[in-house]
Amino acid sequence: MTLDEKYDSVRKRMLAMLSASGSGHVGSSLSCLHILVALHFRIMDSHDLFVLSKGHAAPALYAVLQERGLYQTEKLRSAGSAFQGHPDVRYLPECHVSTGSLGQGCSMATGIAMGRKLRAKDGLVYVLLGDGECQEGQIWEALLFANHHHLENLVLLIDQNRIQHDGFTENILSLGSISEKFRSFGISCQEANGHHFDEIERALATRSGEGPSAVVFHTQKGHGFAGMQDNPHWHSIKDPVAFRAMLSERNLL
Amino acid sequence: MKDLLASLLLRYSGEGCVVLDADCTTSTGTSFVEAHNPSSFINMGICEQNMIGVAAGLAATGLIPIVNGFAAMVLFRAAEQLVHSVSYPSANVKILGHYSGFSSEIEGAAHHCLNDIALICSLPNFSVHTPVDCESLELALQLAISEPGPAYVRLYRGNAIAHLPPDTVRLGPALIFGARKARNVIVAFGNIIDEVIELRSRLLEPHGFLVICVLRLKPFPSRILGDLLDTAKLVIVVEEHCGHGGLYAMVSALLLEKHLNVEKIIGLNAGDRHYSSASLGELRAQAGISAESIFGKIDRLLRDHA
Repeated sequence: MTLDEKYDSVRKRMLAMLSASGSGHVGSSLSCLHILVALHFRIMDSHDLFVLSKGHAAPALYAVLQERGLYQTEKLRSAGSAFQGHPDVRYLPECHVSTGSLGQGCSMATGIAMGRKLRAKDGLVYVLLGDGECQEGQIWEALLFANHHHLENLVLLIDQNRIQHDGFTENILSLGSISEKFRSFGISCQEANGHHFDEIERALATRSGEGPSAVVFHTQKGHGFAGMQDNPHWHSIKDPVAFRAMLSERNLL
Repeated sequence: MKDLLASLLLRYSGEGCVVLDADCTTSTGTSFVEAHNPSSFINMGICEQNMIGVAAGLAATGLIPIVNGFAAMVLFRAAEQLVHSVSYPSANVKILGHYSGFSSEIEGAAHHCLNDIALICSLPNFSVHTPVDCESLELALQLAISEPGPAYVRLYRGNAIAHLPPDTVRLGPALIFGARKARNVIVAFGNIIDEVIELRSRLLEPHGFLVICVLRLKPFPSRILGDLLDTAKLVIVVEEHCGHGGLYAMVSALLLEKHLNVEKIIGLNAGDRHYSSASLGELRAQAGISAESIFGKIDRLLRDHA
């Protein structure tokens, strides 16, 4: 199966679970889905580990796990489900740490990278942040730490979809150039199109190896759906009927 | 006690623990670990939120992080991190809150910490230890580290150590001295017990007081305390902590739950206010929890009831 075919399959699973629950952060899940598919089906090996710090995009992670044959019957956001509203390590060990409170997954992933370094364990720790999430001061504390301790096993991925809960990031609290800010913290940082598998792979193949590295991925919230794409209204599903109609029109239900 | 703590931390740092500190190493004593076992020590800088998150990450790799900092900052600057990264996933993270209560003295209100117990006891999965002397500190650390899940240990500035009377009996999560099957009981936790001990000859012994010093606030030792309070009519709860969510609330709830027939329960604590730079003695006097204040209040109470 090609990565494009994998993407279609994972997206179908993700949209199906979002449609069934009638709620969830669909825009953010679509913006990072190419990145998650590339990581889990091409880039990561068995020693590597992924933390979804932008825990709101949980449906994307859950669909990837389903594609790998896990949790086939779980229902998104239902009582007792492994697919909680945000990744919950009590129900889902594969998420490694619980996330959903923005900024915290970055520190926890950094701690995992540090722990692996102290224990001389192989493998990379990938952590995916949102651009809105980078407004949290804790992110920048974690970057200081990762750089100071030369955590070359830490790879920070930023899903820059330019939209947060209340609207466009630029209008709410402008971040300026994220990659320049990361570089000023001593972290080698590239930029890439987050919806092109070739670019994603190329960016992740060229880490400096001398400390933490980062890639800012330019993405579109709600990618692939004309009414949803780059539309702050679709941060989460507010109208399940309209959402299902949108999927139905595209024969995705 | 600071020296003992440093040597205990050094020992544990060689047994799978990693000691973290938020740039307070000479105050907390972790500089001793840094000097003697630097590979198991991390100075996190003045970044309490990241420190708690990194600790949770370290715990996810199987290490046991022992996080040190001033209680006022390590808990409250990072309160949401303690909830999300530690409490709810029950991460195996141990928090040592130094300089708690009034023990930062002249540093002033910014450094006093009179509500740590209220915060930390409200977080599920945390166990909470309040040692007062070397033996109870060793026990607290041993329990905190050996029991899986998050733990908080309340500590004080420098070498603060309670001078317990020779008739002290240790009952695990509490220690007691004074009369048994007593009508009058003082319940306390932490180093404020020193103020109570000062009253032995002029108050505790003449009026047959039993004194209970609680060493573990969570899980609360309800059975032991229920048995000890079985004959109590007057219960005085003394704590260097605010009036909300501390020992007074815990003992009051216990008395109600156990249907114990107490005539009066009095809470002597730091109340509902912030304080200012002053010595430990001055601050305790202002709060009404110095030995003199405690004596005055109880003496008056006993006279009224005589």
